[in-house]
Amino acid sequence: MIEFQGATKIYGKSDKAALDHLSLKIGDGCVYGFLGPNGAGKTTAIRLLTGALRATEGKILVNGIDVAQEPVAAKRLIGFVPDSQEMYDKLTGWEYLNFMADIFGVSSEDRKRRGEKYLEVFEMTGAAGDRIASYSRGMKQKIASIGALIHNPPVWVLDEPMVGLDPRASFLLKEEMKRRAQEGATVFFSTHVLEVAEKLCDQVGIINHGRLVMEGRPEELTHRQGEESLEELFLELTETDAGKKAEDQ
Amino acid sequence: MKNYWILTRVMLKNMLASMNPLAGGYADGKRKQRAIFRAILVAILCVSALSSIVYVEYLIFQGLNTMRLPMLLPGLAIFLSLMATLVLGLFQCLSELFQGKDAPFLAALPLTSRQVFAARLTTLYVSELAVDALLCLPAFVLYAIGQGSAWPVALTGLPILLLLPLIPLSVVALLASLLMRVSFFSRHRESLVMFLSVVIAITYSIGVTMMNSQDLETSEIALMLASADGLVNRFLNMFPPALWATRGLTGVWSSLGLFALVSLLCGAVVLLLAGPGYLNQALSSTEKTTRRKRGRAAYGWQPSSAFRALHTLEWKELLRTPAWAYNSLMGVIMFPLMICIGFIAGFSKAGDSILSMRELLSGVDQGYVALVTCAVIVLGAMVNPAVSTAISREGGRWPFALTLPVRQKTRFRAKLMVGMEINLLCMVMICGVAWFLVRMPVLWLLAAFGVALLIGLAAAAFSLWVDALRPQLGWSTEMEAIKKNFNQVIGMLLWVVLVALCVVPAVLLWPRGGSVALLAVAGVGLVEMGLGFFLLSRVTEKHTVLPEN
Repeated sequence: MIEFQGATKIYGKSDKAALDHLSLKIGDGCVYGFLGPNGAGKTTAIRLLTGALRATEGKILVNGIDVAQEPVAAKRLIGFVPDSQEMYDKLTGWEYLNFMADIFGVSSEDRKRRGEKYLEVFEMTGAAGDRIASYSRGMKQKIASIGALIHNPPVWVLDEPMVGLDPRASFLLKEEMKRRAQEGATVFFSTHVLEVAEKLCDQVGIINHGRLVMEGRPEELTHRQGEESLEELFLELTETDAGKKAEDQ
Repeated sequence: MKNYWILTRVMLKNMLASMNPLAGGYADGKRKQRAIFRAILVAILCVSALSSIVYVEYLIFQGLNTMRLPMLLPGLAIFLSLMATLVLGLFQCLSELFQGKDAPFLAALPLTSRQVFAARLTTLYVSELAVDALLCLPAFVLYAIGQGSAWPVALTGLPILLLLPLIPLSVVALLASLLMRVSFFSRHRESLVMFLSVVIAITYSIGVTMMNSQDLETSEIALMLASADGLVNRFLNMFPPALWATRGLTGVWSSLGLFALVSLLCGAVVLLLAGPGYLNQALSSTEKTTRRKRGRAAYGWQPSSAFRALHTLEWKELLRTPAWAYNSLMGVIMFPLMICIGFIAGFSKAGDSILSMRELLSGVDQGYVALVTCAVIVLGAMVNPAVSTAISREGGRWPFALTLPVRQKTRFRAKLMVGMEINLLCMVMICGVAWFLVRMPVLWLLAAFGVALLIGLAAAAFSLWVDALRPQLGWSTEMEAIKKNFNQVIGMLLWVVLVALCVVPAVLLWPRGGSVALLAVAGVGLVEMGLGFFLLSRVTEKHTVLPEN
């Protein structure tokens, strides 16, 4: 379970909040899509959740553990797939997985079982002996995903996971996200691909200028606003906001 | 040509901005104050480095002047500048020219390969010029003052200084390009390039040593000493451009013309030869060979602790990244190797020199000998950037690294441990060489080693502290991360403090008080180490998230 309780992030002495009193509660077994235009605050929210940044105000809880108070305990519950392609690319895929398993304290049997299983699921078995530097963007994304799953985390956080994936890899990842949620894990991901969010998510949240502007089940949201698709709703929400901003100016 | 200028300007701007402590906007006054404080500190460091160079060159100049060899000082400075670029520039060329992450981006721009190569070479030239100026300008000024002829020296010195990096840079750029070509089809390209470049650097050193150690006939020695020019010629003939430049500086226009002509020719040749294929080579170095296994492969899944995992990761990153490997491990190999090369190259008089050195040192207080040995160990071990760039090396991965469930203390301990292991390796090697050369009593050597270890740990803790406070995470080439860090000078600063506090008063008060001085240095070193680790522990508690500037 993930809980944002009025999480606010102001960088330095800036007068603008990158994340403004975000409150969210995402239960177990839920696939949650976090949507928003560029610069809306998605990555800031994810960095707060994964402990890479500290909130200026508010709390973030992972399975009841405060990320700011007990960062190491909270991070142990999270499997994180970053959007950046910057990885430990001098390691081979297999060395990377072993490294992640060591960091999360996974036993020899578990890491072998999960490692080999996920390498096969993501069709990476043959490439695991190569250095990550030689991987394509999609392969890096796959090995990062396997690394995030090696400790069987109850919370899986993915930052723009579909970027760079071919249709087959994208399908495999989506299937894994669904399967993890069915097993009771919380899956939280940010995306620009509204189609994916519409089809995959149990719940979506739309964020703009650091504020959560709408949250709910995708079909409920579109129905509530009288829009035909999530895409139209997204455009409507972000356009209105842009218009409002222009008006304010 | 226009595109070349545009690209060069951007690259230079990028390079200079990363070195400017005042660059960037500051939202609040406190941060600006800190930036100004940092700038002042950097300025003090630069001024003290420059003053030390000026002082040492002044002392040498006085000595040479009494021997009526004033032109040997600029000659020496020119020779050292040229040789330093020749020996060390190859690693820099390989890193900067062929290991940039921006090669695919540059290749996609409507620029010719030669334009990109020329722009890259220009940025390298500018950084080499800065180093050469640091070494040569004081020598030129001292020479001009000594000669009482400021304007003629300025007139010849300026073009010499501007042209100085061209010949060695062209040679190493061509060699780097050749190495990339030779290693093109190798599966272990990076390792092969690393190995070959070390071989080339050693070959240079052997060559210079052999030329320097050629035995002279008595008549030749008499002829050499008969005129000031004889000694200058004998010394600088090892690398003729150094001789041309030195003669040019003294007003021999034909030598100056020859130096300028050869320098410009070298620049043109390297552009002609290495320019056209440059982008392909740079791009090919970003491609990594694979050896995909078919079907299920058997991988080992042995567990280890988080600390060990981080420690192993650091070592693998260091050894598998050429720029890190060159800069972190070269010091360990090169210094003791240079001594060995001296013998391999056949110093016939070496044995005698060592014997007379041992004889001379046997009359000196062993405490002071240990102190000097300690200084050599510290300086030799601290030149590598393994600790001082420990956080900066993470670059774009740092946000991800912070999401891992590891205590910052564990992470820092692993980084410090790897850096200290490299330093320790270097210290042991230098100790071995020191024992071989000086044959000082083992107990004194151990004392020198112990004190050096204390100061080494203090310097490592301080430099890691600075890097943790202000990591330089935004770099596009690994060399950039190293260049952006000034932390390595911390070791030297600690030494300056130690020398000022302990050694100078001890030498002045007790000429036979070497052991007291060594003890005092150990005491202050201990305090410095305590302070360094205290500061580091504070930073590990506070800086557990990304810096917000």
